[in-house]
Formats: sequence, C-alpha cells, structure tokens
Amino acid sequence: MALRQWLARIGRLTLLPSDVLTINCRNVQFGLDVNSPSAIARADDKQQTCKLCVSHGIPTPRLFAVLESYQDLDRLSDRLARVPEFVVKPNRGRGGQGVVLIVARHGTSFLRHNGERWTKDDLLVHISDILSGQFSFDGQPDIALIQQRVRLHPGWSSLAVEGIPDVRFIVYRGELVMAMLRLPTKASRGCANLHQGGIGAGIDLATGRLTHAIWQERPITRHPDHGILLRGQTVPFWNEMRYWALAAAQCSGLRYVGVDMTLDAAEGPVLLEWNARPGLAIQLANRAGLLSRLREKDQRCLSRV
Amino acid sequence: MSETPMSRTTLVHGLAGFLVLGTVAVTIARCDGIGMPACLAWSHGLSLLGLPPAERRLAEFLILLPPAALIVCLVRQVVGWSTFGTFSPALLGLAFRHPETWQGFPVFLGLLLGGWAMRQVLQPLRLLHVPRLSVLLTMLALALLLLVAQAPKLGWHLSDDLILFPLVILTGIIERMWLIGSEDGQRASFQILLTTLLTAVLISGLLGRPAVVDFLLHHPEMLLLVMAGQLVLGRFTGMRWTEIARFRWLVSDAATSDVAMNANSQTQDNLLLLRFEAGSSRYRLSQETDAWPSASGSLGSVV
Repeated sequence: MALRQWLARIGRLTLLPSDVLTINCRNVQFGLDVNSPSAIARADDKQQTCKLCVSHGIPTPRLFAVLESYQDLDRLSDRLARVPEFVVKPNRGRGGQGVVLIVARHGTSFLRHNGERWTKDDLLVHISDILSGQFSFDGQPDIALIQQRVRLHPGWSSLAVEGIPDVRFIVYRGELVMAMLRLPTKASRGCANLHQGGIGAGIDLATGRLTHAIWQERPITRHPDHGILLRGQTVPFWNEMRYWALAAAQCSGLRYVGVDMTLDAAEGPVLLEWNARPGLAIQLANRAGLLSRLREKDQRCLSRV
Repeated sequence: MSETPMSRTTLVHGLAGFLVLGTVAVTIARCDGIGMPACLAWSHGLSLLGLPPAERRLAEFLILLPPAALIVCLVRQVVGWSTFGTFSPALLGLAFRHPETWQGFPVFLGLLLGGWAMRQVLQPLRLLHVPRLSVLLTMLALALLLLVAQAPKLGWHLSDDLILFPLVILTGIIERMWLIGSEDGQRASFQILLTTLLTAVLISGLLGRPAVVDFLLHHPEMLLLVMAGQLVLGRFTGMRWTEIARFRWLVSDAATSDVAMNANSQTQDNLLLLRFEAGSSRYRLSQETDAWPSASGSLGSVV
C-alpha cells in the first residue's frame, strides 16, 4: 500500500538517524555541544573576525571604517572621500541581509551593484537602519562595517558572470570535511547565497574539481546563464584556499565551522567570514551526507585519546 | 556532567522519564477508591475545577499555555514549519479557543493585513527602526480603539481574550512579515503567515475543547508530562518533514538508481586529510585511500 509505505518512510526519517545532517541534528549535536559560546559569539561578530584574521596573518578584505554610533555618520563622507567602491555590512547580520555593494561613484551619488543609484542620504539611512539593529540576527543595536570590495579574479572568468563566487568549507575538528563552490547567477543578482538563487557546486576535496551542482535545490549539470559544463571545472588556487580555510578554522576556535573564502584580483585567496551554523545545502551540492564523515572524525579523535 | 552529545541526550531522556513516572505516580495517588494513606491527602487539593470564575479564567490560560507551547515545538521541530515569533501562534490559538470568539478572528486578520498595508505606506518615509515600530503600534491601537467604540452599536461582542494577544506581538508580526517579504519575497512571508495561522488553528482546535480544559484543570500534574515532551523535543535530531522533501534525493530509495548512475560516471571523493599544525605556518598533506559510501549505500571504487 503506497500510503502506508509513504507514512513508514516519513516515520523512519523522523525517528531514525540517516547519513544526512539535518537542521535539528546540527543545532543539537554540532552547536553548543562542540562549539564554545564565546567562539560562537566571536563568529557572529564580523569585526572581531576581521581583527583575528589580521593578527593571525590570514588575508581578508580591509576594513575602511567602523561606524558605532550615529555621531560617526557625520564623519563618514571624510572617511570615504578617497574610496570609490566599498561594501556596507551589518556587524552581526545573518544570511547576507543588509549587505550593500557600492561599485562606483558618480559625483554625489553611489552606484549599487544591481544598477540602482543611491544618494548620500539613502546610504546614511541604510547605515542608521543597520545601527538600530534592523539586520542583526537578534534585533539588538548593531555596528556598521565599511569594507574593501573584493574584485573578480581573472581565474574565475570561465565560471563567474554576475558577481564574485566564493567557496564554503566545512571544517570539523581541524580537518576538511566538505566544500562547495557558490556561484552567483543572473537570478541571484550577484549574490552567491544559495537561497537567493546562487548555484552550489560540490568540490572534490583532493583535486578541487567540481562534481555535482544544484540550483534552486535541483540538480543541474550546466550553468543556467551561459551553459558551461560545471563538472570537471577546477577551483583556482585550491591548495592555498584549503590552507587558509584550515588556518581560519583553527583561528576561529570553533570545532565545527563553515569557512567562506574567495579570490581577490589583487590579493588572491581572502577569507570572507566563518560561520558557527553553516547551512546544510552543501550536502545536496556534493550528493553526500555529512553525518557519517563527522562521526568518523569523532571516532578518530576518540581513538587518538 | 556529560562529555559527549550522546550522553547529554541520554541524560535528557532520563529526566523526561522521571517526569513521566512522576506524573503517573501523582495521578495514581489521586485516584479515589484506592484508599490512599492520609499523608497523600494533599493531592486531592490539586484540582483547579472549583475556582471562582475570574481565577478560573487565569488558571485556564496558565494551564493551556504549556501544551500550546508544546504544539508550537512539534510544529517547528518535527513538521518544520516556521512561524512568526516563537509563541505568538500559541497566544493566538489560545485567544481564539472558544467558538464564540471566532468572530474576533476576522478583526485580527483585518488588523494584520491593514497594518501590513500601513507598513507599506511607511516605507518611503525611511523612518528609523524604533519610531517606525511605534507609529505602526499607534496606528493599530487607533484602529482597535475605533472598533471597540463601534462594537456595541453594531452589536458585536469582542472577545475579552483579545487582551491576551498584545498589540506589541501583532506589531512584531507585521514588522517581521515586512522584513521577510523584502528579503525573500512576499510569497515567503505570506507562506509563514499561513503556517503561523494554521498552527494557531491547530492549537485552538486541540486545546479549545471543554473536555480537554476540564481534564487539564483537574489534573494539573499533566504539565509534567508536557514538560517531558518538551525536553525530548529539545534534543530531537530527526529529519523535519519539510526537510524530507528537500533531501529526498539524498535519502530516497526511488532516487538512488539515478544517483548511483551519476556517481559511477565520476570519480569518488577521495578522502583528503589536511591537518593544520598549531603554532607553525606549515600544513601537512596526507592522502588516505578511503572512499565514502556513495549515495546508493555501496562502497565506491577507490580512485
């Protein structure tokens, strides 16, 4: 009976563990059980991440200005006078909310990456929204960061069209577990986040070659915008990226961490941020579950003791 | 106290077991006709059925709130629906638990959609966050006051329980709805509104029955059972129903043949171990010939 099988399957998946790391499982067993609260708080604070990276020599986009109060807004135009392009970020944002890319400046107006023009007042209102905590994950008052904008590295040119791709690494107990390339598309309007329409492509950890890919939670083989075959493409600077991802994971103090790296045209691999609660779609992009890999690292660590 | 995730889960399950046993013990102790010893006579005083009406209303609300919270936990952790606010569906469901208060529901929905429309009007004014919330709150309060003033003339009976659902929560729902709408699209925000309302309907349908209310008032010890359920859900690691659809081709039996076919045509992931040596800026590369089980469950070939 089809209905009975279907119900049995739902019951089995709900109650019995499978190889897939689920939201509940991540939150219960790979949240506070493995990561210390102070390290999680540090990961949620982009300014601290940036400082840690600088002190450990991990390459990361430069921080132009930190706006902590409404008074700082008055001095903003002096600080940005010589900077034509920059990124405005909430310090404790989530899921890329409230991030604004300014790509060029025309007189007094700012050009956003999506072609929208902002006046100086628009920018100030956005920053004061950030300060009031509108984009912070807990709704508390926040700090606005003004950061160097990462420029498209020529090594990406065959893959990237609309924006800057980045690589998400999952590191557990100091070892790489899984990696995924996130590619912006026309549909995602330059954003590499998967839920906003970016492509996620699984990466073979040994070679840096792309394996499978998903777009909008469905498997794809070719890039939806220009039809390039994704499988077999290689991520440039793969060794350096892995190296810095592991260094960043070490520096983060988190046992289970998602590290985001990208390539800058001038500086090569740079660290964007690390995340104490990385998303689970990486399993879909790699067509493999995380849980058995994580359990194996657990076993190895227990046997080492 | 506990070192590994597993032992922590066991501890929580043990606690929940104790609560279940405690509930059973108290319930048995309160059974009439067993001839309970005098030292347990206090347990007969537990029933809240004999309270005067005003206190009874308060007791009713207090005793229904934990089971309502349990239902919200179930909906969020097991079903996987998201709701606006953690406990607003519980408060909403309880506010509309009596059939005679259902006519207040269109009022609530009207306020919500009206507030959402007002939020749209406020957007181009680019107000700061807190003043903007305050303006929204004032608008809602005005609308509700007008309604309250007009209700007797129109012969409406507005629910006293409407007070249980503070305007502040309504304002919060509208603001969250707006934010989610502007980030993920209006479809997503109305979907979450729908699941919030469905959860509230579920709560009012299950907990609004007089038999349930009387049973809980007579057996307040059942709250221990409710707490046991909440504890178990607090360490629940199973797949949410909404995730089953998402991960269907990682776990589905039907899809494995398709996945296996794709997996055979490409190299298996090689397990690469890259350990970062603390204190030195060098890394060690070691490659193990160790293949992961492919999605079909069989061990893939080692490349």
